[in-house]
Amino acid sequence: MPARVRTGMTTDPLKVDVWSDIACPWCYIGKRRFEAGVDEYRASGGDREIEVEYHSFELAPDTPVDFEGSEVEFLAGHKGIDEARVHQMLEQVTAIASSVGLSYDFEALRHTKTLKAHQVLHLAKAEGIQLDVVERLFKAYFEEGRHVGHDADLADLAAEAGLDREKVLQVLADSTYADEVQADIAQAQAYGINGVPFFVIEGRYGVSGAQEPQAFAQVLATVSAEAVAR
Amino acid sequence: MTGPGTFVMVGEDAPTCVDGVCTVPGADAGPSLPAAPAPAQTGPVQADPASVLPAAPHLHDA
Repeated sequence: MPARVRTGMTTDPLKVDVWSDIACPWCYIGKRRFEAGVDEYRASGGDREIEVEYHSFELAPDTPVDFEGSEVEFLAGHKGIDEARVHQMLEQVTAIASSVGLSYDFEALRHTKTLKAHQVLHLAKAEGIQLDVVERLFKAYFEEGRHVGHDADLADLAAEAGLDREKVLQVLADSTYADEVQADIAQAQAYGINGVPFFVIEGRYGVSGAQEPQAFAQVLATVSAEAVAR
Repeated sequence: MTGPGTFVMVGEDAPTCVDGVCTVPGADAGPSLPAAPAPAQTGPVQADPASVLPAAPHLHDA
């Protein structure tokens, strides 16, 4: 069940599908900017209920679950980026994160594979609390230096967000949602999505990257107006 | 959503992560930084250019 961010007054919910990865710094920033965009949409009179559904995207499938090293070492070692440039990039991202109220800590960050985290997000969707779990995992990864690749750690975090810890462990042990994760990834490929975050509004409009809030507010208003005109 | 779709892209260049590398459009990328694709390249081709929304104000993140 997709999460609904707010109850509006008219017509069917406006659907927003988001392809995102927990290990994607722009995805967390994009989440904040999208939320600010929704606020702008409301402030300008928008009253459509908005239904948000997160979809799986694995940004770096080659990442080991237990990567031993820092984010700098990963980007420099695995991606071949000059180390000084990596530091510069992370400083830029950290500053922009701060501008939307997020305290990124790349020194503490524990780089890992996010495939299992995506399975937990599918369970959360089925339980109707996907946005809560998305937020908890983003915060754990970027602000708290928590590991999001091991079953026990994921179960702890998911439980903090409202899921049943034992159910999370069972779902991960059984790979219950593995097919759903792969289906999301395949859908992204079919759409031609190769970067995240990527927002699809009402299946018609695409918003790539962590756009400013007004871009989201604008497209939400446009889609709402189109619905009224029909 | 089922099946491939075609999106009308909204907004301008924005920070995105591609293949594990996250960049800021317009920043001094340096010679070794893989470039991020522009949004129009990220999604499929626009179906109806006449209905494309006005671009968002230019970003100043970088």
